[in-house]
Amino acid sequence: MDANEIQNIFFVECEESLEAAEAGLDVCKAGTQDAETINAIFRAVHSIKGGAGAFGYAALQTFTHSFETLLADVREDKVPIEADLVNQLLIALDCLRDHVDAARSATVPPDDSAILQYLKDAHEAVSAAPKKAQADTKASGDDDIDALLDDLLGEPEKTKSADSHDEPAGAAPEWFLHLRPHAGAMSNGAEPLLLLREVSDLGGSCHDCDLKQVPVLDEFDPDLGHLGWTFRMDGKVKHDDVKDVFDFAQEDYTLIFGSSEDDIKTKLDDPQTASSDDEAASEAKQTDGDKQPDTKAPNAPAAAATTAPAPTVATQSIRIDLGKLDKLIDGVGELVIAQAMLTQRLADQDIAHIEELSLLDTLVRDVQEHAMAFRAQPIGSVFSRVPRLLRELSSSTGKHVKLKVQGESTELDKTVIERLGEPLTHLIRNAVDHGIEDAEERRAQGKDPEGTLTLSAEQKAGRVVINISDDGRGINAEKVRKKAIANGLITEDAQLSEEEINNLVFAPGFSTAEQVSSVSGRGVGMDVVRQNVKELGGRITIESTPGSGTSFILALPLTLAISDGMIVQSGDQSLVIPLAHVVESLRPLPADLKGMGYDRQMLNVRGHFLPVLPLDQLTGASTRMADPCEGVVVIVETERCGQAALLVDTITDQRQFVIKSLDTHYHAVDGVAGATILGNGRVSLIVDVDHLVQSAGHTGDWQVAA
Amino acid sequence: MQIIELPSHCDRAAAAALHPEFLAAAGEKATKVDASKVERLGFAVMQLLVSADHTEGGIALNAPSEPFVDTLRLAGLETLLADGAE
Repeated sequence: MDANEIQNIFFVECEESLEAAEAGLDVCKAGTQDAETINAIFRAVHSIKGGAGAFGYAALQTFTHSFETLLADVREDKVPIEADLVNQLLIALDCLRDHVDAARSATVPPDDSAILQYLKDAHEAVSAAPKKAQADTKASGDDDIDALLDDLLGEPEKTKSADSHDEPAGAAPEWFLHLRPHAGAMSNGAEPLLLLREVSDLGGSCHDCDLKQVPVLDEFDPDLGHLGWTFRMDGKVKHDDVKDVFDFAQEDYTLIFGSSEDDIKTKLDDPQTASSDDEAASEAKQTDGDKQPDTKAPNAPAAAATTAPAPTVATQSIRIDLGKLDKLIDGVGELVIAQAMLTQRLADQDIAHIEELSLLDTLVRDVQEHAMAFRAQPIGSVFSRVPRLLRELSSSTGKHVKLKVQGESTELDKTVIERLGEPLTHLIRNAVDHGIEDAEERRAQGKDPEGTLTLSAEQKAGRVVINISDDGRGINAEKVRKKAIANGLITEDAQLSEEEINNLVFAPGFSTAEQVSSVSGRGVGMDVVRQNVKELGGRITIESTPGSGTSFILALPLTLAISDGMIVQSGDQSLVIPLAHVVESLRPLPADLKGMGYDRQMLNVRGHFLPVLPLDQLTGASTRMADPCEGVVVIVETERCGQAALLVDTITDQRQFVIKSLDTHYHAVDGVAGATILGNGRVSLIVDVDHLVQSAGHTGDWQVAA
Repeated sequence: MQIIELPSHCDRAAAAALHPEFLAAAGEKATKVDASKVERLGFAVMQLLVSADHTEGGIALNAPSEPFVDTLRLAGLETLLADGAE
């Protein structure tokens, strides 16, 4: 693994940390936080700082340092958690995200002067008060930012360290820290001296550098750690602060805490003194005599336990390169096809019902499910970016919008998750800019001046349905119609249903915004949204009620790779109907079939009339069935149009199929969700049931609609 | 006598590259080391310097840069500077 790969991991971890911090701040905003919430935010920011230091991202490190300093005050209950503070911390978090992005793309870091000043002022405001109380202890804590900046500018740190070392110890006695980097401390571009610098900045000064283990040049190995240090630490510095410095690299260092130099020596001589044991022991010692305000503070009762869970989590998960995972999934796909072929071959020999085959079937299915689960991620990772978007929109449009999120633990394929961000952003921008009215207009209509945006996700009919709803003004059908006529999208005498009018907003170049704003209104967004969703194998629909809001409903596939399906014969074609849509299948009786209109038929299924849609019309099969009663109907459930009866010649099989995208191998075809390879080696099309039923329902002839 | 010039970024790779140079230069006399261009001194090169100093002849640091001196002070290795004062 080279330094680049390690950096990539750092940025992935940054994302995780940012999400954790955002989640924590949301809890704070709701006012339901506890000590662990604050600790989690602190840890998240701290771990970014640690990595930033190791990889030399100075601007990122400086910013996280100030951020962390104020968070430490919050953790220690020095700063009350109030709405304004939380808002500022959220702004700081947004800025931190920009810093991370800048570091990742090697671009200019964002302008953080205003928020940095706020963080600094807020910290200084609280640190001033207690400092007065402790009259003679020097205010060195609030020098941290300056110290760090000095450090970055290359100014010697020594003066400050020496000061803090020389000052009267006051209430807390000084203590000693022995640290020794191991070989791993230098791996992957990490630099132990940066951590040494941090220890110094905390209020430590080098008491002794242990050179005894440094060999002569002949025996020198540049990959090993030979030097060790004993630092004299200011009494004000807590063991936890030091541990925090090393928390993401603790396995690469020996850390020994002691009350005196002799104490350190004793522990060094004692081979039993492992770093962790010692920490625990000295932790107890430290709490005896000194002030340790944070661990006892009411806001942070769980502080002592915070370091414990981290290693446990680390051992429970591993990171895998996505490319490797995709190879596995591809392999599983091919396995499914091979198994289908084997089944076919055995069936030809009339031995398809052997026990080994059903065992293989179960195993293949298990392997496939597990492999798919690797790629599944909760949609919360996309939803978690929305609060920031709303904050930005709030500042650019002046509209305050509350966010309600439901079903964020719903899982779907990683690729879908990754590609969902862009359309979702477009939809939310549109909802806030066009949908939700400004506060005055809302008040005039008797609405809450704050708009509400609801995001929900759920699994339904083998798909994930995401609903983005606002409680704004809804789509003005008349305005849309006029605009569409003006743009030449429809003729003046066109008779369109409300839904069709709503769908016009997806037409390229369509926008009803009276003024093009920086947020939206250029008429490119919705077109792109629909395209993005289509590319994911999904669909988007609109439901809008004038005056009370608009909902955009995205229906996306759970996975893009393997699914269960029913293989049917229609004319000379084998087609696959995804099993997620299938309710039942039956052979129609003449008495249940009723004609309707020119050439349509309805099927009476236990008192409900469902439209009969002959699949052979789709395939253009030359051998059309004369009598529906000779065929089989498959009752399918759709998201938007209820149930329908697909008429096919026969049902030949029911099995798993590997979805091969038509987009990749050919081009997208309406009414066809993809293709697959059957057990006999032939390619078969997968029917896009929703699209077929919907277009047939609207026009009576889906081929025209498609 | 050859002077070993330290690069501006004395990282682990630099240590690996400098090690053979120091080995070759080691002898009865102190190895002269030019640290004037050092902007960042890392742990690996710091160890190498100490090791070279432990080896026969030792080292003599010439015109160390400010960041170099600062880092040695941070690590409590000012003695290396004293050794180098010719």
